[in-house]
Amino acid sequence: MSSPASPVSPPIADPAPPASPGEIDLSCRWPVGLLLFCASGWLLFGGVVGALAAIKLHAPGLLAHWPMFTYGRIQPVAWNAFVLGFGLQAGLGIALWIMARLSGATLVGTGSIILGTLTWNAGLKLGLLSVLMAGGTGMETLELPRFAVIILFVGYALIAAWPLVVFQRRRRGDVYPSEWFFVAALFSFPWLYLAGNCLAVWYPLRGVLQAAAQAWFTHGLFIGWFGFLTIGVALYLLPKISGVALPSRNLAGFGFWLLAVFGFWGGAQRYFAGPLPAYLTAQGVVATVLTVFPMIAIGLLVWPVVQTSRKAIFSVPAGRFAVAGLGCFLAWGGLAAINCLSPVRAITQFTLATVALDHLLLWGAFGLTAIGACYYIAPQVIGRELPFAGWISWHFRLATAAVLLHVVAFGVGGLIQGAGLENPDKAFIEVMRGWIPFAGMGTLAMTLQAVGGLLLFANVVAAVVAQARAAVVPVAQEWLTPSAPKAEVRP
Amino acid sequence: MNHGPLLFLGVLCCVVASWLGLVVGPHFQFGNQDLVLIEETGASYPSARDGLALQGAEIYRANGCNYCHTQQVRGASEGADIARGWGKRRTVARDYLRDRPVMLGNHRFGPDLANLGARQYTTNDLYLKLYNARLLHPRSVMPRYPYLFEERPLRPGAAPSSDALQFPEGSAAPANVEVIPKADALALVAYLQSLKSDAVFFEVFPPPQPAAATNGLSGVDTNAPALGDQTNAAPAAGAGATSTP
Repeated sequence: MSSPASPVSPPIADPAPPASPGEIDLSCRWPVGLLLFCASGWLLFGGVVGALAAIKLHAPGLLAHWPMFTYGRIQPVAWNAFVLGFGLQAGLGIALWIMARLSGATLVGTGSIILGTLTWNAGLKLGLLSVLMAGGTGMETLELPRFAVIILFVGYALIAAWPLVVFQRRRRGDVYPSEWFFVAALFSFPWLYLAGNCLAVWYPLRGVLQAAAQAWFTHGLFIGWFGFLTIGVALYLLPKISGVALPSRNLAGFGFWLLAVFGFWGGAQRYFAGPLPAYLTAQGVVATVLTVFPMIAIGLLVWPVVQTSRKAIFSVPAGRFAVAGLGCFLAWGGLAAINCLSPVRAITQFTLATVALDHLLLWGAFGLTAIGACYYIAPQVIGRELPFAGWISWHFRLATAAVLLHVVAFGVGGLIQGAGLENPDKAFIEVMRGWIPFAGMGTLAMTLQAVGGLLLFANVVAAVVAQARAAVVPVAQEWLTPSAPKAEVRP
Repeated sequence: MNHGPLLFLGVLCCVVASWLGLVVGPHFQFGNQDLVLIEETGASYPSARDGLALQGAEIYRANGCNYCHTQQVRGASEGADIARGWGKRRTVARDYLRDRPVMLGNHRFGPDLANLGARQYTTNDLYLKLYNARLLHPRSVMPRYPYLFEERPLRPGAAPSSDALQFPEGSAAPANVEVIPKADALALVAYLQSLKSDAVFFEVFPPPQPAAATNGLSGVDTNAPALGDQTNAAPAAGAGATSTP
């Protein structure tokens, strides 16, 4: 039996009716608003630092005298700023708001979420500063030092408990598929990050097992946080904007469980032909290829929605962002499956092409979807339309162009680099000259991303300022106008 | 799928299963690997690094060298690493037993370093590369690390210190200064020169064709079968298919 799934399911037979959207938005105002505000700031920062790192890949003399700006420190800072600054906070903010809306319950734990957000940002800033000051752990994707990671965990616990509380207090009958993905992501991340840090950094396993733990974490993060959130957000936004229900709830369940079962196994293919046992990398290949099936299911699930109401979806910026983001995610799934096959992997291994794939998932799939969701949610949470509506379309153009440019340039550059590396008669320096023009295009792409990030951040700041002014100015005027001397003041 | 606990348990099972399979299982499989005694030399492999090289590993980590340099050599059938002279055999898990953290690296914007210490680089060459790689390879994209060196003004006519870098003829050497490596540079180069994953033992043997001359290593076929076990019974053509139990 295949029943459609709609984001507006009927309320359960319960004495308490679902809260109205207005009430929910009001309850989300400070916590979700703060999370999205911080996330958009980190998106801008990640774009700027990412552009700096990209420049240093082809112009190594830039800022060479400052140890803290060397490529090996700037690059992890750019990565963590995007992943932990934008990715985690935007993901949490979006999940909080969408889960509150889908559950028909107001958000509780506002103070805790705000405190958690401040803690998270403090920990991240200290951690990144530490990486810049030579304190990185040397384990790729797990660079933050232990003290910072502990602060991050405290912050995460203070935030992520509450969407689950909202989920438990839901006042609607069916759990909408988006909520499966959000709940799964919220549970997966702390487990992955804790186990990854413990076994690769804090109490490291012996020898290359550290790399196995790191690869497991990284791929788990890609699927369990970025993948799940991308799908969850797209499955909410597209039917919501178009008013067309998803064709099948069972297909959504099929995609969800298959992705959960296969997705977390794909990590070790990062160390193809490396010092890990061959069966581990083979497992990674099998899992990555099998992950294509849930991707197809998600594609089939969303296609009819987009197909039947293309105009409605594309008329809203968030709809465009969500379609582009989900498209990037499905493309990533297909390309990752092709990339892990050994004839291809022998060429692309260690090259720009692997960077292109990671970029397609992080900045393409998750980045675009989450930016779209920010544009969708921020006005409702702030209680006012974003003042520069025209900028939103520009951000869409800049961000999609940047992702496309980055992925194509690094993909082609990576193939050239890989072919060169495979030719032992070609001197290494000659191989390097082949890919440098493509690295230059990466700089252009990251600059576009930074400009896009600025548009989002400026828009959010302007909306907050306008809203604050609207709230404060009448009160201030009332205070400042001379009143009758014996006016009574009432509490 | 309307039950929170069921959802939670299902996802937990998926994550834990992958963790058991990819991390814990391999840990029980080869987490207790031990050093190998090379009978010919009586030394154990991998050999311990001296204190200076251990400090150098910290400099390597702190500056993120592993974002551009790998420390892993793929087998002859899976890439041109051996043909490029980056090693005479593929690297295996046992090569990294003493590394904390293990910095395998994922990108080759620079060459592989797993056997840098076995290649024919002089100490001065390595200092020059760190100071300014373009002195040796114009248009190299390796960052400069001037902060690892001290530039001292040199009085006209005075001879530079014996510790100072010797610049190659015709290179754009800085005028009237001598460049002295700081303690960090000494440590980093000591670490780089300690990078050798070349010992041959029961788990690995070099591919039939000897590595390229740039490797700077002579043939070592003599001791390959010494600790013989079934891996040596691998097909003669099985280049690179030797490691991993």
